[in-house]
Amino acid sequence: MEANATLGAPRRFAKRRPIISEEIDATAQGYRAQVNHSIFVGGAKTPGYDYYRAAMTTAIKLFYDCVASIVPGKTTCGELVDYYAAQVEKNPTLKTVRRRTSLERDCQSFTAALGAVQFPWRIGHHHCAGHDF
Amino acid sequence: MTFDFKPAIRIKRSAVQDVMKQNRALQIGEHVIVTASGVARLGKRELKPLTTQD
Repeated sequence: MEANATLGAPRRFAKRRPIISEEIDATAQGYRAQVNHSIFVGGAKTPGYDYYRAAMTTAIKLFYDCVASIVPGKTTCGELVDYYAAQVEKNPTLKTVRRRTSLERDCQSFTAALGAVQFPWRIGHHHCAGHDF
Repeated sequence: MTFDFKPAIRIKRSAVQDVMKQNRALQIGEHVIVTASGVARLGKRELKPLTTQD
């Protein structure tokens, strides 16, 4: 169950689907921040927990690896996308990244929305807030 | 600048099998701030697998 798949509408928890992928978003004076964290409904003995734990551990490591790869003012948005894709592809337990990852799609829609600013823009401290990758 | 970075991954069934017919995608996402001196996440909670029971 993914939060943005229901448009915020309540849904019942299916017994065999004990993973909730929530998405919490807040905006203040035009600046937006979001958190996402898939949560397992149950405990370590609940069927499916082993998969959940393995996938979450991998995702968290991927998150930290990618963030650590950013060099302020130097790394481009496209380089971050490429780094993310490379990390996934070199991990033998992960499914291969689709040609257009959600990260890449969001990145491209962001640059399209900005119009004049084209794809490789650099990730630096001088940009405004609220972009979503 | 700040931005949300939220990778979603799916593990191959040959490695670990979910209880569903297909392995599901799981996601972790955080707000990240970039300053002149470096990059950091703004959240303070520990990033780890979360369950509703012990």
